Amino acid sequence: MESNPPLPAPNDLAATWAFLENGIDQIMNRLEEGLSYKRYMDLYTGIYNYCTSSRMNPGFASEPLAGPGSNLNNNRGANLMGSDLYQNLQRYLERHLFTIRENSTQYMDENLLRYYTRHWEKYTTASSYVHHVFRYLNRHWVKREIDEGRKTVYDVYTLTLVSWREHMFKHVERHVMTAVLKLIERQRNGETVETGLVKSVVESFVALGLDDADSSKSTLDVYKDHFERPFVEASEVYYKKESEKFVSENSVTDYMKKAETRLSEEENRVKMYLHTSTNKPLITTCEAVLVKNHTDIMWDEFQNLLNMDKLDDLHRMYSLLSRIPEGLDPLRTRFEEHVRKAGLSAIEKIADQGGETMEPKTYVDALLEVHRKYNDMVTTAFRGEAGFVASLDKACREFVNRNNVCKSSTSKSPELLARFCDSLLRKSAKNPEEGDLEDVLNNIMTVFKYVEDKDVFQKFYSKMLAKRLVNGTSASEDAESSMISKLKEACGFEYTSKLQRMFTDMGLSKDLNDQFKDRFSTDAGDQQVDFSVLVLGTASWPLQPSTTNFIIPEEVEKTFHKFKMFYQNKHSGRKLNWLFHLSKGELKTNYLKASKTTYTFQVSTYQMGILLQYNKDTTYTFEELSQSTDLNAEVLSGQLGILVKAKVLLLSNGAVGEPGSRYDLHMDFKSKKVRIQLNVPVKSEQKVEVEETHKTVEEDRKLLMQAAIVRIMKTRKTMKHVALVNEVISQLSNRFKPKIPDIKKCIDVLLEKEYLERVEGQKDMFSYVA
Amino acid sequence: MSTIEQKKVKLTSSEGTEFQVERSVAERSVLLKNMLEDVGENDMAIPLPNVTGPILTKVIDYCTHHRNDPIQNHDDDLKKTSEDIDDWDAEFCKVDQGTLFELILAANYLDIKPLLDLTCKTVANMIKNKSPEEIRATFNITNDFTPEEEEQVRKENEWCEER
Amino acid sequence: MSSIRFKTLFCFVKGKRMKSPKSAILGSKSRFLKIFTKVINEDPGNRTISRRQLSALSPTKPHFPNVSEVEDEGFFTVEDLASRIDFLICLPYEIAAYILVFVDFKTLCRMSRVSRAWYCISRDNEIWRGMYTLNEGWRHNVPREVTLTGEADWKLMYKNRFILSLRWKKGECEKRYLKGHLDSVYCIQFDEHKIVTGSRDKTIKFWDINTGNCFQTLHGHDLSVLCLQYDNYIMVSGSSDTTIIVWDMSNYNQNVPQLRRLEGHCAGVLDICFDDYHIVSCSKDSTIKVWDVQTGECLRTLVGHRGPVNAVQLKDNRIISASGDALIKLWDLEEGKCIRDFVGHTRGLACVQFDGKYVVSGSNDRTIKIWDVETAQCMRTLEGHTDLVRTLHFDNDKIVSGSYDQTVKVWDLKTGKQLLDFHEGHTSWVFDVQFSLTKIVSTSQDQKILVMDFADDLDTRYII
Repeated sequence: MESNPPLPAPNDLAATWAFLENGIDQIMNRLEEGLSYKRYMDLYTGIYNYCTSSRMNPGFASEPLAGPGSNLNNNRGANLMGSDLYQNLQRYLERHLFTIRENSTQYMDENLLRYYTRHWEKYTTASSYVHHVFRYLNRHWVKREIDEGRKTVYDVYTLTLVSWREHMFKHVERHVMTAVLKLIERQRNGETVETGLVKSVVESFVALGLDDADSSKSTLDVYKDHFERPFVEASEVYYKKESEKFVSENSVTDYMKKAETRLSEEENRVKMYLHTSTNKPLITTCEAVLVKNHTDIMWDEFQNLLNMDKLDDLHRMYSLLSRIPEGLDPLRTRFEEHVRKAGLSAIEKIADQGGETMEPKTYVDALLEVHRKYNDMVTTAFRGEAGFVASLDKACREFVNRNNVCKSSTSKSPELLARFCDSLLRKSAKNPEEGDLEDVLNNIMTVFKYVEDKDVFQKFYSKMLAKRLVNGTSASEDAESSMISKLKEACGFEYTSKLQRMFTDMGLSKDLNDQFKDRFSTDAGDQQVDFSVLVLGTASWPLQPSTTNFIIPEEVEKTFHKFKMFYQNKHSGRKLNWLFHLSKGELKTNYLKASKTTYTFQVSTYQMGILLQYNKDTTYTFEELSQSTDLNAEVLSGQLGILVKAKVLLLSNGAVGEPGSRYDLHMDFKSKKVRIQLNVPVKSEQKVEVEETHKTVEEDRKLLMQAAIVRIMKTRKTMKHVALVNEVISQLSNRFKPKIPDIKKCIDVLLEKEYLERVEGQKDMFSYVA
Repeated sequence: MSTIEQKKVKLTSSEGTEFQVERSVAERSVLLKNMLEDVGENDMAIPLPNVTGPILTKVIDYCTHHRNDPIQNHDDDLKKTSEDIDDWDAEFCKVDQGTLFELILAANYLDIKPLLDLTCKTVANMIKNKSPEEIRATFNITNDFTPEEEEQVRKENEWCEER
Repeated sequence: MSSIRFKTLFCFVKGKRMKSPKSAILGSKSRFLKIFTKVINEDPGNRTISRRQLSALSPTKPHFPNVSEVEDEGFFTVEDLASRIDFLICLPYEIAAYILVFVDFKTLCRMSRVSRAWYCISRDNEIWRGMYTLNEGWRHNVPREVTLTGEADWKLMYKNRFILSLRWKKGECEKRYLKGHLDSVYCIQFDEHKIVTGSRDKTIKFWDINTGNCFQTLHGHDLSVLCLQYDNYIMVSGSSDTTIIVWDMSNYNQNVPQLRRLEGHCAGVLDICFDDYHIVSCSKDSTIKVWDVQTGECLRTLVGHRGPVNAVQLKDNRIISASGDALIKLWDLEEGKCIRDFVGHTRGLACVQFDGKYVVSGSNDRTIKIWDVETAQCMRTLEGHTDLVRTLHFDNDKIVSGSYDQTVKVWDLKTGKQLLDFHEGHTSWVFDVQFSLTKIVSTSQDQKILVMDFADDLDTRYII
């Protein structure tokens, strides 16, 4: 039972304090016994009565009336009642804490922690009661002291904390921390410990962080100085020792597992029982000790892991090294080198097998295989980290553009890639299924991304597309347009505009043919010639004019003229150039008496011109044919070669193409097939074409560079040489990689043509001439 | 406030009269609020040795009327004015000086800031806009200055009358 | 003594009952007994003066009203009187002081004349501190050390600030002239220690603001000094000789050496301003130039005005300029581009000031205009001057302007009302004006510098 002594007289300090001390003692030491309403109210009332005993009272004023400002203390009005209680309380707390402190000396380690935290919890709980009981003092006397700028007066709860800090914490903090660090070390060593004790100590140290400038605010100073710093230091020592020992006894891969585990343990430790702000200093320190100190051995191990494709270990190494600044840099460099070498050796292998003629598919597949493998590695082991993506890209760009196959020129890669496209898009027995085709096209785009000479690709692609369209050998319109939209996405509208125009021309030609047929279907007598024509814009189509003259055979001449008239009628002013070397026809045999079959010859226009001569006679000399067809010797002999080889014509007297050689119509021609394809390319033509394509690329590049220079100068007006060159390179980079000497040459050309001029008095400065 | 019947808190005035109020009403007093939180609720009456029954009745009236008011925050930076008294509060304060005096003490003791503000404002309004003589009359105060002192104080403060 | 008091008490209780039956709820005799017993029990002698330090008054009369005295006054019945309570004296001091938080300063002053005790409580320093710091404009001007040391006499501070504001309201000030320049005085800047002026006599003079003595004369410009600005480290001046001089101010009491001369304008430099990084100058050649403070390099030239640029000001990387072409322009300092024009004045502009939010301008059309810097809308036009408005300076409350009509006028920034009008100060055109909390200083073609001091004989220690 608690005793209920009567309330003391309000103005009797001694009695009041005795009364209060009794109650405070009960709260501080025996709160578990409970506190009655009456006891609580009596304590509050005792303090209230004492504090409110201050009055304006004339009885204490004895000096004569002072003027304003004569004595500033006068203006303070009353010193409110309270400082005696406050000081008594302060002294009480000191005594109380002294006892607690004294008793603590008999404890060590965990027992000390148990003692400290138990008393801390008891003390703070009791203090919040005391704080409430002293609320009247807080509201008035303390508030006024603080308002008047007294720095050493706090509200009662803060006073209890300050007292704990002075009379308890300062004396035992070292021992407490020793115990804490021992406990944590034991936990690190694998023992199960009572972490709640550490958590309480942390809470206590955090609560003691009072801002001296403003006691209503708190800081983490106490915790940082007395807990965090020694703790982090101890952690550093512990892990330094542990990691050095471990490394000397185990493999690098095992060490990485160890470090990973330790780091995640420490992160959890902060979450479990430390202040969250410790995360950064602790983890930074651990990273330094566990990772940074051992970077060399990890960097050295990296190549081995790459060689053996150890994805898990690579990922672990990546995660560890990504924690420290610049930890990944050597890995990226090595990775790039590794991928480059892998790419080069893959190409070298197939180059050895393929010899002179490289199969485009083999080549592209080899590139893709290397890319796929290391792209997977970047995604899984390196989490798609941007630096590794960049390294991969750099390496791929290297081995795609500069490898064994394209030793001579970087434009070999785009050419092979374009050929591969052609093989996929051209009608063939080996065409992939539509779904698969899309995947293959996407793969092509992967390689395309790395190709530097994108203009070369464009050239070859458009050539081959033109062929597919003119010859009607495109496998699928959908596939064609899918590929073009991919290119457009990668390189922009301009890059594909000509390709798209080609498709448009094909459509328009179809309409044109229909109209032509409608118009002349009623005309009798023209039925023996089935005629169709493609009208293709010169600007969009990469088609060369014919190198030879040609006399149109009289059998088709009428139709030919009719179309000419029809077209000119529709579009006056347009000029039609006939590309006979790209045209073809079919002829039916009526002269083979021995055989009942009529054969159909699929022929080029030139072959048609030659064969139709044989409607009049059955034998001609080379010179006669040359005259009647007007074909030049080279073309004529090439075409005759094919006809002779197919035994449609029989050579007598000399070799094909020789003056005086004679060609007889083979009247006993026989074949297993009814339709015979005679329109096959002449070998020598193919090689010339490839060379020409490369040559036109060079020409186009000059024009592109000049156009870029003019465009840039038109907006900038004046520019330094270096800046201009850089701007040209950046503008053209998605087409090809301009060489600086080439740009210089173009600038010279433009200076000569007076598009540009040098600015006088300023070195290397050009200005635009409007 | 709620459909659930709140537990009543028993209060005992200085003469021993017992009052029963709902906890939300009692908790308008920060003193009682803190104590109920610290000690916990029980069936014992809370003795209020410094408040008489009649004054406690008035205080309970006030707290019941204002039971749902939001808790005031720190208003130290705001200009304190005595003009913002609403009708109910003004009517509440129409009491003789003795009662007003007792209400101030009770509000201060029980730590009911809005009531302390209200009663102090009421007194402030009794002081404002009055000459020294009128103030003396209002509060029945004797002028204890000597004539010389009175002149000195008048001079010392005459600046406030300048306009 | 105590027996007399008991008598009072008795009457009191009795009167209470008679007067108001309703108050019977209060009417427990013992209750009232208790209040008074409590008071009576307090023996004044127990309270030592040193502990309370409350009052400078001596006890000449008993504290509680005496029945016989009250009756002498004859105004109130015994009952009425007895039911009255001297709240401030009977309540705990902290509550008495709390009541006074709700009254105004005038009441605090008046009530000090009620009695010795009231005199004491009415001077409570905390109450006056609250009273003073509640005043928005005053609070920001209290030096930090005052609030920290607690040494201030807040009532005295309040009184000084109050009287100062009254004098501003009424235009009461001490006028003093500084003479020494041999020709028109074009420009001025001052602080609590000194006044610095530039003149057509090609010199810059430093004056002690307290004694009015000239203690430094600088020669450097070949023609009139038209504009200047200084801080603790440098002073920048501009002249008709088309140059700008940067001076070292760090030791201005001894000597003010030239640091460098900025050349680039091709006509007189009309106005100047600078911050930590840039000097901005404007010229009769209708350009504005931005210079690097450290190197003196001309960073850029702002072109756009079609007349002489008479005034320029720099604030937070924005420049405001006013020109004879009747336009105000706002520029971006970094880009050197004009952000917007402020159109409204009908004749050329002479002066402009800009605080980041408002632009205030003075013009040959005799008006002052206040603009919103973001919208470029004219918010108010102040009319009153009868000739070109040559100069102005404003703060959060007021605008002070000087005109070729020889007057200096003070305006309310918020309402646009003219507050003060000084006719007699100058006998010719007013060229420049600047003011502080306590002074207006103006310069004129009449070669004189006029100091109007509103704080004469006031303790201005706490007023910055």
